[in-house]
Amino acid sequence: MLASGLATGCNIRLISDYDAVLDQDVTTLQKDTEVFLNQLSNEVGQPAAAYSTSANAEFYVKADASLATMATRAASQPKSTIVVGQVQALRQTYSDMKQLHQLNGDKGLSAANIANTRSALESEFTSILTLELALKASSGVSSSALAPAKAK
Amino acid sequence: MALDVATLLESMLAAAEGPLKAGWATAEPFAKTQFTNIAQQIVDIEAQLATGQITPAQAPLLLDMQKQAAQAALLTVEGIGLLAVQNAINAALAAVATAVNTALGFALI
Repeated sequence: MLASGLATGCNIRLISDYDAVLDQDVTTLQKDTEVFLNQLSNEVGQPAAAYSTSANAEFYVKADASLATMATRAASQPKSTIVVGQVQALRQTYSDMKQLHQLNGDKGLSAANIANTRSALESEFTSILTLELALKASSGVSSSALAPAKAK
Repeated sequence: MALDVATLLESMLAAAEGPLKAGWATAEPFAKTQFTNIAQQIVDIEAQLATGQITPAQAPLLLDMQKQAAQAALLTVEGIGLLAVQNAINAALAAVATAVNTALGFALI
């Protein structure tokens, strides 16, 4: 049982290490999304808010590419099941937002839609970044002065 | 009958306590916040459907978003719990490493 957690020398590892690149990518996506949602808020009911505009459709393409990259990166790290689950959940939320936007046709997202979406996304970003911060804070512990692994 | 957040939240918290029993003290505030958001979303969906602001096709998408937010939040709780266990074991081993390795004459830990 315990052996399944061993990954680095004599340190036990139960969860993936802090990932500065993922942290930065999530922060960048959050910033881009806030800009996008603010823009949509200013355009509620106007033609510019429709999903079909190139700028709006392009946002979803870029966001999905970014999330796919994050998912691959997270999955490549050992003991990353939890982080992978969070990224997959976030990706699904963007998919839901895109479908909602498409269903609204030329009207674009309503003010209520935007508020609901923002609430869910902010919560997810906070969850992911809170865990990354905890991993970062504990990174000194996991690399404590234990002996290196012995050659088998 | 109109839905209300408090009644929905009470049922959701009671149902979640069992599966989350081991870490309930840690998980409860996160669960309460997330379940409140889900309950509020359900109440909003009812109101927005009644006024024609959303269609039945849009309702599941709105609920899905809050479910995913709850999933991400509770995964953070789980992750921080695992981190605490990991750090406790590593700190315990580090605390005795010098004494053990010196006594044995080689680096066991």
